[in-house]
Amino acid sequence: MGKWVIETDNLTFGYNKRTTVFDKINLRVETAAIYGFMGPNGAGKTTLIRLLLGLLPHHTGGIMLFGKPLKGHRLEILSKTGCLVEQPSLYENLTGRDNLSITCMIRGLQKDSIDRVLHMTGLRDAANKRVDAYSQGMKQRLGLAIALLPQPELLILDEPVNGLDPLGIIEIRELLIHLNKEYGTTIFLSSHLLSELEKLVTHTGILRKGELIFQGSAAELEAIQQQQSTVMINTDNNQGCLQLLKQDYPAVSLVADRLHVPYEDKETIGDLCQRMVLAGFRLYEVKTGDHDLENIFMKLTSN
Amino acid sequence: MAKFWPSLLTEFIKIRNSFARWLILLGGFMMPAFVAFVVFTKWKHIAGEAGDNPWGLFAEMSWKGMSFFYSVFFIVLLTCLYFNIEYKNNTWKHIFTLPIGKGQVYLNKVLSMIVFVVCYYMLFIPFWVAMGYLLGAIKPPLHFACHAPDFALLFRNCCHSLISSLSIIGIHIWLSIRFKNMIIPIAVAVFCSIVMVALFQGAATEIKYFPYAYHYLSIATPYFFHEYIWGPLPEHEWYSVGFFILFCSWGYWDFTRNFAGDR
Repeated sequence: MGKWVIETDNLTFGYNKRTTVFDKINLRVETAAIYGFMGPNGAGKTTLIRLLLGLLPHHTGGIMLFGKPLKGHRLEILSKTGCLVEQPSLYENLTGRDNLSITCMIRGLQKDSIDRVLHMTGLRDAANKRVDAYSQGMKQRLGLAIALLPQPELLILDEPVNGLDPLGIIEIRELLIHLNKEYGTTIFLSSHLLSELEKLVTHTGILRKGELIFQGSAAELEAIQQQQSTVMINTDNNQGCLQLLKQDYPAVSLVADRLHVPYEDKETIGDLCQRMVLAGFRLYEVKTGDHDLENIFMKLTSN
Repeated sequence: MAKFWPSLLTEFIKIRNSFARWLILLGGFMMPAFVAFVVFTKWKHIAGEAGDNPWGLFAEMSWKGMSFFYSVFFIVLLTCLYFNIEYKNNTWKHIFTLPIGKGQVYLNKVLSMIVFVVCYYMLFIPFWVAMGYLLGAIKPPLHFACHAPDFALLFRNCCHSLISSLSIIGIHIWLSIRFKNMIIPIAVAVFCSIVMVALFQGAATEIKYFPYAYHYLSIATPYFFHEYIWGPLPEHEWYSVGFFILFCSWGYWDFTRNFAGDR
């Protein structure tokens, strides 16, 4: 297998000839990466996931998984892939164990895989309950258990922590990290919970209006985050400090009774503080703002 | 092929705890129970009409009841309920992300439907015989206990009915896959049944080309109706097999090329 587990080549798709959901997407997901896929509602995340799984026909451009084109190798690719697309697909008239049995039989797996995934997802006690009596979180866990059944090399998860309580979210996060670290499972997931993605992903892709506006490693995203962030300073005389710094740092501004300095690097921050202190100003507060994934996401996806 | 039997078996797991499974059981039970009730309430009249052996009249009443609307709507409803399991649970997308060909999925569905209909007839036989003997026990003057039912006729009728069912199975599998809304295939069946009644009333000989009439034609021959017997089967049953092959082939083509589940 090559470097990329998922690779698309100028992938373009529209539900009809007049509309384009996305245009010329070149997605690259590295082997053993945890790739977080973000985008506002309607950006085309689920559509892209459906295309990767061969659920939507009629696209232009190429889709390669495990180095093989999806067209012509669909069954071979799906045998190595576990997925959870949107709401979990479960037979509500059956028990959790029956649901797992169906997937197990179709995939030709041993029955002991069922107990393994029930244990992993914390559903052992509810395995023999009918799914229509499950809570939303339990259904989500069962959907994840079904995806994990074949011990997949690639996990494609669309909103995997939807409906889970905080403890459940932490458990699933730890489970995904464990699968990635222990078995080298490549995980491609989309989520609206950006704080969760931040704790989990090694790579990120951001989709906006059908365009992949960012794709790269966590370090690359961090660099952008820092470039985009602002340092806020509060002193005993903000106006005086503004006059002092304006000559060498023309980007400094006074906003809502705080000095705002665009972040460059930590040395610059140190230099700014030193100048103010040496000039006799008293520093009350120095903090960076807009430094999390949520804000960078908002900046990148806003018009 | 290694996955053929396990994947086919999953279709039988899917109907557990669903109304589709109860319908198969009820379908086999309801008509013998209903006819037995009629015989029970009008036993004096029926005892006179049936003569010494009541099984023939009991069979005729049951089969005519079964064939006119009952079996048609049983199959239509069962097909709708069975395919609705995938739509209701939003599981088409799950099936299509499993390493199983679409053709295999379609074949499993068709085979399962045939098995379900076979089960319906297989349940009908013991229920029907049990009802006859129960009537004999409750009303000895009917003489049910003095004679044995004609099992050969029973088996033959079941086989002909099953072959007549194939055309409707083929048509309604395709409709049930194509339309998420169960009402549409049921509405088609209602409309076609009305057409069937009109064709009977109009004494139209073209009725042999109308699949919804095949059940009745397999059990009774209307006064205006003439057909050839080709080999072991009458003409209309060959047409039923033809319709089944036609619609299943069309359904297979549509399912494997165009169908993407509930988007």
